[in-house]
Amino acid sequence: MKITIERATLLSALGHVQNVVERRNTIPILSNVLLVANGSDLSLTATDLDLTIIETVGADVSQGGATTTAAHTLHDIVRKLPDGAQIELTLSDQSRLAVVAGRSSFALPCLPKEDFPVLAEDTLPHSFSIAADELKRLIDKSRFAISTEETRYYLNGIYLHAAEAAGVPMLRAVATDGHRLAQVDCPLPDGAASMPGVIVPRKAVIEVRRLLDQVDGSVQVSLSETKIRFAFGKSVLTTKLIDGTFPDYQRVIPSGNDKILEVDRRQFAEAVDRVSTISTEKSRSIKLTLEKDKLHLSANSPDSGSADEELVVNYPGEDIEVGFNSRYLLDIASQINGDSARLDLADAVSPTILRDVADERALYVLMPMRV
Amino acid sequence: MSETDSSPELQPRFNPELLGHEDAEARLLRWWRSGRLPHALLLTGPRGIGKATLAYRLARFVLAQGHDDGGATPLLGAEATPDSLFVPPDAPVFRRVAQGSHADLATLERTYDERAKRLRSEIVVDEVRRLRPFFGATSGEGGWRVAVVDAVDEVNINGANALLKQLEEPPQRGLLILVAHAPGRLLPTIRSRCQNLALRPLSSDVMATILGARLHDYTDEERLALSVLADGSVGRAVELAGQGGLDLYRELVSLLAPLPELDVAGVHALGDRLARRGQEATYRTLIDLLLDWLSRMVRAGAEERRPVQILGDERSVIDRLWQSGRPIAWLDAWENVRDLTARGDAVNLDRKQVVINIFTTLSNAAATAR
Repeated sequence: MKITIERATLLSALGHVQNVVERRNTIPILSNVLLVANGSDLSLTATDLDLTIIETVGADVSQGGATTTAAHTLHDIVRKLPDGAQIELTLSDQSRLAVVAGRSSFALPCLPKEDFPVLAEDTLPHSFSIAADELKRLIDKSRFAISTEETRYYLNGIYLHAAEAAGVPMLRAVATDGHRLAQVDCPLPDGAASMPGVIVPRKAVIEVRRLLDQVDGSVQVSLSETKIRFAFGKSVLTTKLIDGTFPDYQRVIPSGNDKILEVDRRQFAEAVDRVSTISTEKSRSIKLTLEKDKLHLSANSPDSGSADEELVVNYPGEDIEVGFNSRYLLDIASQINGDSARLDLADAVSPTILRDVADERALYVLMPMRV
Repeated sequence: MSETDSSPELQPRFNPELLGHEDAEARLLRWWRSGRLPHALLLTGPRGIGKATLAYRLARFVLAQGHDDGGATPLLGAEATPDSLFVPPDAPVFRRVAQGSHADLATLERTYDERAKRLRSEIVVDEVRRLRPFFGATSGEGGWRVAVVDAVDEVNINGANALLKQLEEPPQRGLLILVAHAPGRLLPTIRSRCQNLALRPLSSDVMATILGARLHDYTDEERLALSVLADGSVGRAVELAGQGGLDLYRELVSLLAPLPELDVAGVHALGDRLARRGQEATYRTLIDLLLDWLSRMVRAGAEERRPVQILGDERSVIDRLWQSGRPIAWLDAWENVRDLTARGDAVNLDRKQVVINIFTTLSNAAATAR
């Protein structure tokens, strides 16, 4: 293998893939990045055994070949080389990769490419293309609700599936941790109708979201029952899925909540934030007391005192008292972009629906707390 | 066996060959072919006979089958059905299993403790908990997911409970292989949730073949001696050879020879040597060799036949000490030696004192036996 490549190109490619590689690895080959030179391309692959990122960049390949070498070391070297440098990568024998740029030269130990993990290039029967902005929105509005609890591992991801909202087919992302739930829809892309419902693990969600910042246009998504792949132009991310059944979330979305509260989103969030200063570190609970067109927020704590605030709202219904975790309320409020938020309440112990009045395609469910 | 072999190519995950367990292998293959491979296997038997080697062999085989679930009879009977679990060392699956880079294989072993700068003495619960996300994720290469626990005896009690959770909810196309040197010490609930497959110590022929390939620098006679001393465990034989076990045994026999007279100078010299720093392993080996020697005497006494000799010049020593009758004295000696070493370990006694004590006990035993 012998190639010449521009520093900036190599640096950005390494920057994309090296995030996947864990800093501390007991298995040597997992710290490495796989370099494959072929035709006029260099492809870089990194994996943590759960997900793989492959990035392909243009390079001047004078001799094809493949090897693996330490990802972080190579990244550090390339980062420290002067801007605009031409980097020459040469694999002379199988155990050393020479990195030469100007007057600097490095020799890095290599491991054979055969030892590098493979996340099988299975046939992924379902495939569709989705606008990067839509995918961004699906992830951003739902990922805060992903559970971190390991025992219910099937909640540690976003459930992506085809669904129907008011008769219109939708691609839907759902995440929940048992206390709150986020459901975000976007119009169903062509080819996604027959896709199986899959649970995309949290780590993959984070990586996909990071890569999405660097693309506009569209993302090609392919999936099977065991894997999903996101192709963003030059980089391709493939990940294992969570092997489990996502709970029947429809059952926890109440349909008969008749006490409708409309509130200015910003005022509400600020008030919740202020009042929650008092609520105890552990429970973070605050109480919402509703009277006609009036919302009263309060918190009490034996240690830090009490807080009260009143908001003028649009509420025609009867008086009701309900408690929520203030952090959850703030999380959801920060996902609402429109001016006003709508809460559909039933009583003090039943789930509440929150949504953006201006956006029918996102919905949040929040369990109340006893206060 | 992972701790006995230092060179990587002898470690189970690198070892393509398995000898002496053809029955067990045939059984596993039969289960696979009929699609009835259990979700959890418990491979039991003494240390160093190839349990882990079989575990990795089965893991490689299952992983190499890809989408095949086992049990599928080829439609026209044309496809070759495998007749062993062998996967060639140059196969991609073999290489990735050996390097630990197969996405569908999880291995649980004792890990290195960065703070104490040594290998942990047990498999800790955090290691076992890795299985949850591992089996909770779909397979990376599209086939089975396999976890090997080597050895499950080393899993601590919290880890065992975590493992139990995993055994109780076996995932589809998931296989958990537990290697156990002493299954009696496991939680009964773990044992009852696994299919037990007991491996026997290796026969002397198999031992001769394997040791012949592994220990080039030894004579046939020495290899035979090692194989008898190791009692059918290749791992033990190689370990003994590595620690100069034969020389140690020669020295032991020479110290036993004058009994009930005590070779005071010899015993002191040995004690001094073993008390030195870094001689812990040699000390253990000596105790094991001695306990084995005593148990051979006791067993021979009970069965009323002459004990086997291991080295050429041992016969006269054994005959003299054994024919003096009363095997019960040697049984007492065996017990005493065990107690002495256990007590020595418990309160961290000077190893030299323990050695001197042991030989005094032996001298008394020989005197009573007379």
